Order: sequence, then structure tokens, then C-alpha cells
Amino acid sequence: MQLQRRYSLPNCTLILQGLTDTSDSVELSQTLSILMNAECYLAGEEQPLSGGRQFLASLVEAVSHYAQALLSNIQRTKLPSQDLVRLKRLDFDHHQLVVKVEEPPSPNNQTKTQPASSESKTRLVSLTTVQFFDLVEAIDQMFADPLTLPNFLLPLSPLSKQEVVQQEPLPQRVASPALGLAGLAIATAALVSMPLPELRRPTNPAAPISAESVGDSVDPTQPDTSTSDASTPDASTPETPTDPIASEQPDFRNDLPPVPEITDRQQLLQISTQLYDEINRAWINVPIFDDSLIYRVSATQDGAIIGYRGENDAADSFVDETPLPELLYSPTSTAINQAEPIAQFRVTFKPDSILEVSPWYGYPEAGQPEPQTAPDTSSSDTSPDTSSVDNSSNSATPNSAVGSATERFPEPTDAAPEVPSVPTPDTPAIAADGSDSLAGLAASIYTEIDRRWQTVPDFEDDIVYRIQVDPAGTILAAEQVSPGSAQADRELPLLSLVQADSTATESKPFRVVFKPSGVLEVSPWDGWE
Amino acid sequence: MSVSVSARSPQSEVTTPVPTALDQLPDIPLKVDLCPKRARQQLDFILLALEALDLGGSEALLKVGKELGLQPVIRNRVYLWRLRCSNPLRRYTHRPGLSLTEGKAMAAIACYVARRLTAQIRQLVLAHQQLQEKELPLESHFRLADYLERFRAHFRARMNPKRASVLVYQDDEKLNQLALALLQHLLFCTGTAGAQRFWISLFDGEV
Repeated sequence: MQLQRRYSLPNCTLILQGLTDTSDSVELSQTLSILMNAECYLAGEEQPLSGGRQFLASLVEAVSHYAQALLSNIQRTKLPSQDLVRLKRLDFDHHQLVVKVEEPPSPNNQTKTQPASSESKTRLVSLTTVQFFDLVEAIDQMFADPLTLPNFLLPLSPLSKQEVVQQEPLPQRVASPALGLAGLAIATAALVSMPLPELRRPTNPAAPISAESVGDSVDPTQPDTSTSDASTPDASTPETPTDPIASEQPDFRNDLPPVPEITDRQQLLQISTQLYDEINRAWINVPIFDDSLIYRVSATQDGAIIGYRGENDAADSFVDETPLPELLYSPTSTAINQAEPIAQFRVTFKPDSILEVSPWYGYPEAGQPEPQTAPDTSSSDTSPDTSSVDNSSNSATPNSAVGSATERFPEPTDAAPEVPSVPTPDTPAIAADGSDSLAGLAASIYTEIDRRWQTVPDFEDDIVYRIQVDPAGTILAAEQVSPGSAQADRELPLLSLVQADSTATESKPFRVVFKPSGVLEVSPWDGWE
Repeated sequence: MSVSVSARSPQSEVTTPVPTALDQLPDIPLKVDLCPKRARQQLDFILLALEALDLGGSEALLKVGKELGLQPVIRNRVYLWRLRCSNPLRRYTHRPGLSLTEGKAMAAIACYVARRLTAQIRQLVLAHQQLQEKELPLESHFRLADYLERFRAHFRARMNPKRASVLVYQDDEKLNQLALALLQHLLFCTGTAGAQRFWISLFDGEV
């Protein structure tokens, strides 16, 4: 039985013609199950769009998808399977329906050469939004009608992510993550190229300048570490410190004008401290050398190392083990011409990772400006002793022993190389000026005794002497005060120092303590005040 | 013999524990049972457009909710307001989000109210189309201008002006365009399968 369904809307009328399925039961006899023809009358079009099942399916699919696109403003990438009907948006209110119409070949066009194929024409229909909505509504009503094509269901489903055309163009979308990745890459490269933090080599915790070890001097195999006067003539003249260095190092300093030398003790102390800190901080590698390396280092007022020279063979060969090459400050040409005052320092790198820095010519006003150049001694400590003497004397604590922080300990004999002994002058120190004569005297006595005390102490108690010292620094008398045995006298050098035939009128009493730990203490008998 | 049938499927008005008004709206296979950002935004905007259309819009929303038996989902006026505030562009955004059921309820209410205002919506869309063709300003049509003005006022009062998406609409012209687009959406919501189409369009590109 032929059935017709008509869905009428103001702008669109959909007419379906078809048959009912005769095998159905009576109740379903009104159902249009088989479609024969579908016609769609649109407003403003005389001819309807018509076609069969395929046409209807294509129309429905295209219209439905387009309506969803209108609602969600998201374009589809997947084209409908059949493109008999397509929809395009012209502007906000106008949409274009493109229908491929197959026309049967007209008899007039048939020729021998032309095959009898059907021509396909495209029909364009322009619709406003309201008209399009009516078309959608007609189709929806058809689907909602249970009596029409019950197996034909409205194909409605949300678009999956893959089907959606991305709203933003790819470059814009990729820009942000790409920027992030680029930033990450740059940061990583920067961090990786940063140098690893330098390991601080384990330093002796009491290792400021005042705590330098003087133990090496006790070793019996060590020669007497008193100094030679190799550069005495230079030391006495404060005007030409550059010459010794210039003569030994073939560098730019040959052309330099003579620069003034710093002789102020405070300054020297300050520069010593700075130098010590600087070199200590930079000396991070474990010493691989067996001898101490001694260098004569020139430094400016602000602690910059402007030159250095090795004083012993070990120093020359192991110079790369020291941080001195790195710390060497190369002044610009203007700095050279300015003739900054400089000072010279003795820097010793010991194989047990101990660093010592002291002024080359000693601290002035301590009565010992004699040069301490002993190039072959690997463990001379007289100048460190001087500096340590000065440091503790400046602190002016009543019972502070001069150099009490230092320890005297025996050095292993195999570590000490055989070095030729340098003749030690027995000349006493030049007298200090009167400003702090007590400290100066104490310092000079300490230096003298320390220089002579080379043996390892094998007594068990402190040995205390009371000595009389004249302003020139010579020891006039010495008597043992502690209840020690006479054996100590033989070991200790005091008696050899006594010059009883001096005719000095003034003499001050001093207290000298020899401790079994190797520490020497010299202090005024009546205190520092 | 021909039979002409014009059918319009009725909404179910039977109150059941699970409101059948929502049965027509299919479940969307999302990973989480929450409406995505765009869906929340669109739902709020559609309700906003409905309120701008009709002065009694807000009341109508609640009344329809009751009629459809959606009280278990949309309990009261405040609850509806909180659900609408899940729109991320609002000034006071409600954090917990919108469940699928609540979203369905809002879509159903919106389409039901829109259907009642079908004539008005069609008239306004037609008016706009004619004004465009004749190149007349939008203010020429009183009711359209009224709708646009009310929409603009509601939008600016409720949406957070600091958000970038809202800053786009600082211009009146742009906001008018949004209002007109929503009017078109409302037109489609009035259809037979309007609620379904609208609901599914909310999840385009999210599945």
C-alpha cells in the first residue's frame, strides 16, 4: 500500500512516499517502511529536491551535521560519506545547500563517441537560517514519527576530538609548548655548563697565620733554619725590592721602575692575612709533592699577587700544584705605570696541606728585619714564628704566650730531605725601637731561642727559666726556675745564648717556658703592662 | 490513499526518581562525570539569553523545572544559580562543577522554555536577517534592540571582566554578535529534537 508522509513547516515541506512492508502485522500496516521517493520543497524553490533513499540519507546526514556545527561552532574534518548533499555557510545568516543531481542522459546528446552516462549537475540552494531551521525541523519530525522509517534513526553523536578541526592554527598552538621547551633547554644548558662547586680541601682549623706549624724545625735532620743574608743589602734599602725578582724572572718586570715597598707592620699583617686567605681558598688539591714548596711572592696593598718566584727546586717543579699561577694578577698597562707599593711574602706549601704566609723580610719593629731567604730549607719557620709572635703580642693578653698556639712536633725523618745546612748568623737582632720594646724584645728572644731549639723535647714537665734581657735583646743571665732536672739544661739552648759579658745597664726579666709538647713561650716576667 | 501526519513528540511529565525528561538526552561517554568547560559556559549563556528574551525569564526557568519534575536535580533558585555559576567566566565561579545529570536538567529546562518562546525567537531572528539585508542598524527593531540591551546588561553584570575570554566582549558590537548567535542557537533548541541536538553539541570535540 502506498503511503505518504508530509511534514509541513513554514519554509520547508518534506514529503515521503513509500510502501508499507506487507509482511508486517496488521498493527504495523500503517508504517512506511520502504521509501520510494522523497521530496523536499524549500521556500523560494519551484523544483523540489528529490531522490530516493540514498538522497534522503545524504540529505539527512549533511543537514544534521551542519546543524550541530551551527550549534557548537566547531568544524568537522571528516566529510560525510556521501556527498550528494553538502552545506556551506555563506555568512551569519545565509547557508548554501549544494546538491548533486543526477539527470538521466537526454537522447539529444547521445552520439557514438559519447558514452551514455548520466550527467551530474549541481544545484545550489540558498537558505536563510530560519529556512534552514525549518528543514532541520522537518527532518527531526520525520525521525520522531514512529510510523515512518522506524529503522532510520537520527544520527546524532558528539564529535570526537580527532574529528574536530583545531580552531587555532598549528603554529599558534605549538608556540607555547615550544617556548616552554626552549626555555627548559636553555636553562639546562646553562646549569650544565656551570662549573661544579669546588671542593674545599680540608684545612687545619687553627690555620690562620698565627697558627702555623713550627714542628718541622724540631726535626734533628733539619738544618738550622736561620737565614742567610742573601738579600740583606736589598732589604736594608727600602727602595729596590724589584731587583731580585727582576733578575731571576725574565718577565715584564725588568722594565718596571722601582716601586716602593710596604714596610708598615699593620699593612704587612693585613696583606699577609689576605694572601693567606686567598691562597688557602684556592689551594684545593691534595699535595703530591714531598717537599715544602717555598715561593717569594710579591703582592700589592690589596693582596693581589703580582709576581712569584720559586725558592727551592721543589717549588719550581711543582708550581702547577699550587694555585699561584691562577691567582697571579696581570695588571693592565696603566697599573704598571702607577708604581703601586708592593710587599714581598714568603709562601710555603707543605706536603701535609699546611700553608704558611709571612713577610719576606719579617715584620718591622719586631727587631728582625733580617731577610729570611733560605732557599734550600724546606721547613724554615723563623719568619712564620716572627709573624706568629707579632700576632699574639698584639693581642696583648697578659699571659698570652708568644706563639703559644703553635705546636712543635717531630717531623718524620723520611719526609725531610737532606738539605745543606745554611750557616746561621749569631748576630743578635737589631734593637727594636722603644715604642713596644717589651713585645719587640720578647719577639727577638723567642726567635733566637726557637732557632736554637732543634731537639725533640723528651722531658715531661714544663721547664721555666727566668732570663735577664738587655734592651738590645741579648740574654744576660738565665736561671732555671722550674724544678726540672739539670738534664734539661743540656738540651735547651739557653745557656749558649747567654752573653754574660755584656755591659748593658738596664735589663728586663723574661720568662721562658719550654713545654714537652714542643711549645716555646716567651713573656715578660712582670707581665705586659 | 494518503495520510498526512504531522507529529510533535510530547515531553514526558511523569515524576519518577530519575526524571524521564532527561531520558531523551543521551549519556555522553566522558572520562569524568563532569561537564567540560565549554558545556558549562554554553549552558549559562543560553539561560542568559532566555532571561534577556523574556522579563520573567528567571522565574520561568524555575517553574519549568518543577513542571518537568526536575526538582530532585534543580532543587531551588539558589541551587540553579550555583549550577549556573559553574561557568568559568562568571564573577563568582562555583568550583565543584556540573555533573552530567545537572547539565541535562539545565539543557532540558532551557529547551522547554525556548519552545514556549518559539514565536518570539523566530520573529527576532527574522528581524535580524531583514535588517542585515536592508543594511539598517540593529536599533531599528525595537524588540531586537531591547533583547540585545538586556543581554548586554546581564552579561556585563555577571561575567568576570578580568578573564581574557570576557575581555573580548568589552566591545558592544562583539557582545551583540554573541547575543545574536545565541538567538540562533535558541531557534534550534525549539525544534523537535532541539534538546538532543543542543545537548550533544555541547560535547563536540570533548569526547
